[in-house]
Amino acid sequence: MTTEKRVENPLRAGMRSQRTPEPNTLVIFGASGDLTQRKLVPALYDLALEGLLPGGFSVVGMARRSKSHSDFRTEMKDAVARHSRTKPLQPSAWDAFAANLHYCSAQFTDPEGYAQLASMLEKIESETGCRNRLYYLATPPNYYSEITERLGEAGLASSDDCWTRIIVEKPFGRDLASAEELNRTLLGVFAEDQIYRIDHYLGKDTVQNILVFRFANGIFEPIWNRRYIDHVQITVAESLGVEGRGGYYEQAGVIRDIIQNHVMQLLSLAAMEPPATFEPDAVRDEKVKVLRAVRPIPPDDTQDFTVRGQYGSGVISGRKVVGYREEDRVAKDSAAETYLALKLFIDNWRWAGVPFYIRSGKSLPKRMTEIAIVFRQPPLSLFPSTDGSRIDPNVLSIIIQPDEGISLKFGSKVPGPQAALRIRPVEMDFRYGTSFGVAAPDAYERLLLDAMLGDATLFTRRDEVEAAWAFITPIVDGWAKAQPPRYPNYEAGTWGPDEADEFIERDGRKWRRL
Amino acid sequence: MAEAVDGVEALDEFRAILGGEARSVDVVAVEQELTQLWKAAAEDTEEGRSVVRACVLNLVAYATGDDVAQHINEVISQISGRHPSRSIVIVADPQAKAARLRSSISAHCQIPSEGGKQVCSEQVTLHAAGAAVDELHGTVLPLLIPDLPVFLWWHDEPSLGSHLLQELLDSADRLVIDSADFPPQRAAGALADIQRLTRENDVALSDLNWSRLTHWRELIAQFFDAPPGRQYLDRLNSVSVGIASKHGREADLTEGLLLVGWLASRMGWTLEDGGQQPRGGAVAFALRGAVGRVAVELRPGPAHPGEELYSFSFRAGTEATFSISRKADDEACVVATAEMPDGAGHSRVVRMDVPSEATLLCDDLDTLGHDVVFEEALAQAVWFMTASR
Repeated sequence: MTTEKRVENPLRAGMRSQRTPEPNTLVIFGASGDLTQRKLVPALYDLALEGLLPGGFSVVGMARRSKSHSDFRTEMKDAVARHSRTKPLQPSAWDAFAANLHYCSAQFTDPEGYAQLASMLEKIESETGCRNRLYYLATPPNYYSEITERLGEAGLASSDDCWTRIIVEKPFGRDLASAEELNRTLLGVFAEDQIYRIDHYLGKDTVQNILVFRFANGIFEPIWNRRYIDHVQITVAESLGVEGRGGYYEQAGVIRDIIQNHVMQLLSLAAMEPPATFEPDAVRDEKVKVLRAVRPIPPDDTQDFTVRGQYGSGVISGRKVVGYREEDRVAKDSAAETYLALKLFIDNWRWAGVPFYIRSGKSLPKRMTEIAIVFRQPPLSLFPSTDGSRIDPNVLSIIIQPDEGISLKFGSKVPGPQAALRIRPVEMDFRYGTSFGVAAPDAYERLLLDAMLGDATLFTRRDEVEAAWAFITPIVDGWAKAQPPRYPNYEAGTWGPDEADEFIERDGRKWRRL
Repeated sequence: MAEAVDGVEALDEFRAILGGEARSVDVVAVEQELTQLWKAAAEDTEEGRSVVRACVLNLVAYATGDDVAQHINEVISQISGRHPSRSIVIVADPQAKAARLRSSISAHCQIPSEGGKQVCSEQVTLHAAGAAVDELHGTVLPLLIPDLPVFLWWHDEPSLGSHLLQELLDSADRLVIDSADFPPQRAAGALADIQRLTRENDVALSDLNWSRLTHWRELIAQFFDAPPGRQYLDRLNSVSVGIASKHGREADLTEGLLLVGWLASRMGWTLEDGGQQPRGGAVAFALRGAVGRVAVELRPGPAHPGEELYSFSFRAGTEATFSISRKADDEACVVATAEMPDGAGHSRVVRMDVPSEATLLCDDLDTLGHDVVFEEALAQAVWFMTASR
């Protein structure tokens, strides 16, 4: 169980960071994998370089391949040199960091491997004097349950006077039943406050800024409701295709890869009520209330609320790209969706009747994630148009990536003496890059540090995951019953199928031009 | 035709300003000239150029002499990406016999990211001589952009009798100084006077010499964030600080005294025995902590090109030692070591670049309110300086 002794440190008064984690050992399951090499170990090195990791911090990489500690360190050195945000590699800092990298070769299914791990941890802990442990499941998801159960059997899931935590990577299940099953397995071994379900989107500064923007400024919250907002658009667009992940994508599609986790998190942050405090459970309580208030889409109605797409070949930024079905490990008659447009409603007092339009896809013209709040038109137009055009509605756009920032669009008079007023939309822009001019840390740095500190605010709680799946699963079930669209139905480098435009235009609205 | 030629010249001129050149303008027309500059920038769409003027604060910098002003220009240029501001640089020559005032405008622009807008900020430079220096506030105050914070960066030791300083403090939110530039023998008195002056004017105070300690303080605090280190914090009985000489000068202990002042103010240590006279330039004194005496020593050390503080160590009896020191073979890094019984010790290598003046100023411009921790540390440091003289 988690046992934290927190004694105030008087030297921390006035400092930007309020504490560093207690000494601990991070065990990465799946240490030979892409995530470990591209994200986890580079993030840990960057944290160590900045002095944000405690003395007495160690890493144990666990994977099936047989290799020595020294081989593991060499591999990780190459990975850090390539993927760390701090270049070049600082030799003395690397040497000190690498001295605490260890490798344990074992099958995830083999109890003997966990005995080896336990003995390695004991040896490390006898040197560092601490028994705090953080496990990171960076394996394919089919191993999550097995590893969890083996950890429990080996007595590695708790320690008497220190903390033990586990980070679980996405995807967390592939539908409601499998997510519930995984939760049951995890909760059979760990307590909920030991479990950190990671969604790296939440580690992004700009995602955290949604809460600051909404609740640290007095002028937005009064108009953040059905009375003033016509609709909301959430876009997560990627210009890349599946990039060698065809096998995974065939099983996941955009709904599991992006919508169930990242988009539902963005939705809940944009739509939630103010939490009572900025404590982990207070924030997550409000997020889960939003997810539970999302009106279910029954399987038989999915055609009315969703449009699926799959890209064919095309041109993106002047480069020819192949269609999805020509990608590696993708079936020639694949029915996986690489694009989804979705309309949903949140049935609560704040949002009743306000549609949320969501679109996400691969091989779109540009990489862009934004939440756009589109406001209602004034009740009466005083300024008749001279050219037949409509005055654009006010739009507040929260751009998550790239070029993170917030902009507000409003109408302004075109200068000139003409008797008839001409009104043109103009934008007030705030850009993180120009206002703060500092590089944001990688999302994994923030989240790894938070997990070591025991701060679960930016991690997903059991009920959040299940509420998101409870909304998503009937949609997937509905698609399974219906004939899939005739794929491919959009060209790579375009904004998705024509049906997606017709879908929103039926409601008298348009997708934002991004 | 003449108008077209004028237009082309104006365009070339504004492009030169955005390229970093200064343009002399009439003092009374500064605001109008800046308006013209940004209007021309907004209308210049050639080569896909798109310029945005940004401003998040007013930065008034005071320099004596052109060399210092040039240095200030460079620092402002470096910070303009993170803190685009209206900068007003005063280049003062108060000793000149003839009163004179002239002004120029210039801009600091960042290289835009691909497809992004070029973000620029503006600078007004005021050269004042003789009696014009004392009257300069009448020129500066109208140039401040309303409703944005005002930072007054006074390079070198402020002259407390300065009428200009008094007047500018009336409109400032924060005064930024660097006590590393003060003559060591006057540092205590000057810091005490400046702290009193800013308190009287309800202006926050920053000292870049304090900001140099930020990483050191963070690493020191980390020793005591968690068990097992935390138990030794109240039992510390010895503090030793190594100070290097810089630029061939005598080692200045001010930075080290600020560090000890911080520890004393946070730990509730009081001065017990102040004045053991330097041996070989070292300063030693004793403080009284909750459980006993704390011996403090500040030792001058070998010359170091970038930084004065180079090592720090704590002892808790004979049981535990905590130390931080620059790595001899990699000066960009420090080694932080905790030695404790039962193998609970550890050693880490952490990058700690010697911060540039621009980096320090950038960090200070992030803070708007009073830094109470600094103000309490400064009060203690001044006391120690005075007692150990």
